[in-house]
Amino acid sequence: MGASFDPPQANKKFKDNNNFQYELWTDGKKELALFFGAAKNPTQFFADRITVVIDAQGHWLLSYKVVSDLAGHPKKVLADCQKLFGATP
Amino acid sequence: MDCRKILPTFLLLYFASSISCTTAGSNEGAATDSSLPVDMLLTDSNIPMDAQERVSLDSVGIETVSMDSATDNKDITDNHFDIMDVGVPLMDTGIGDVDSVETVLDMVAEIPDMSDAQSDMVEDLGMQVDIALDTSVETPEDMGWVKPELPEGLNGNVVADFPAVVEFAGVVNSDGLTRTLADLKGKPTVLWFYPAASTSG
Repeated sequence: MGASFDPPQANKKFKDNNNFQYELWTDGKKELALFFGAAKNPTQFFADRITVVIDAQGHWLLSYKVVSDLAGHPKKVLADCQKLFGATP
Repeated sequence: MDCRKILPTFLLLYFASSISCTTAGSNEGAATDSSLPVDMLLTDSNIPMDAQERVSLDSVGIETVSMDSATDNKDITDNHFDIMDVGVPLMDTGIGDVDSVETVLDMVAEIPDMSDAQSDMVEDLGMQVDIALDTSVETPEDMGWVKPELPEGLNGNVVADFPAVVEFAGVVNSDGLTRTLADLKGKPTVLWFYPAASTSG
């Protein structure tokens, strides 16, 4: 899942253009962003670029703050998921 | 505003049926005091309000719900407070939101004062709110959840205590369909936040 503060239409275009096989969510009220730390306050205009891993019961297990290694980041997350769950979500 | 002073003037209606509701479709074993996961009732005698008390409260616009009717509600299976004033629910917590006394006090602090008449009525009826949440009781969401021991050498930062994701209500997918906490359950999820759509990274 991806999430930003963009309107659904912008996310739909983003999803279609990149053929993402997962949903992009509009966190318009910044509820998720504030919980996970992707926003420091409700007025923050853009979400911080972070990734979180949540288990099947809805518990937040891992966090990747300030993702800078954009090319290598997905592999790192997937490697962790393999260790945690034995498969990738 | 000292919420602890305000607290006794409000009716905090606690609905708890975590045990009696675990057997779907069964009305047997309706919650008794001993089955409640918390030690919090409306009166200091732990006796639900009688009809006259209910009428009196209703007369000043305070909505009342008996413990019996609350615990008979099979839809409520979580630690859940309704805080009502003048017949209007002022606050309705989400599942799992009420996990500590501090949480409740923070919520009450946000509620405007009752009228003097309402406050007097509550005090006359001896309605004292005594909250003593047993935070050791697991919410239904946590039942069966075992705090995992994560392996060494993970790339991500391990989150302290693995908090349960909060309820959320204002999230939609790119087709405009509402998404809720339930959509984050049932299988592990990787959720990535990005600053803006159609930008690199």
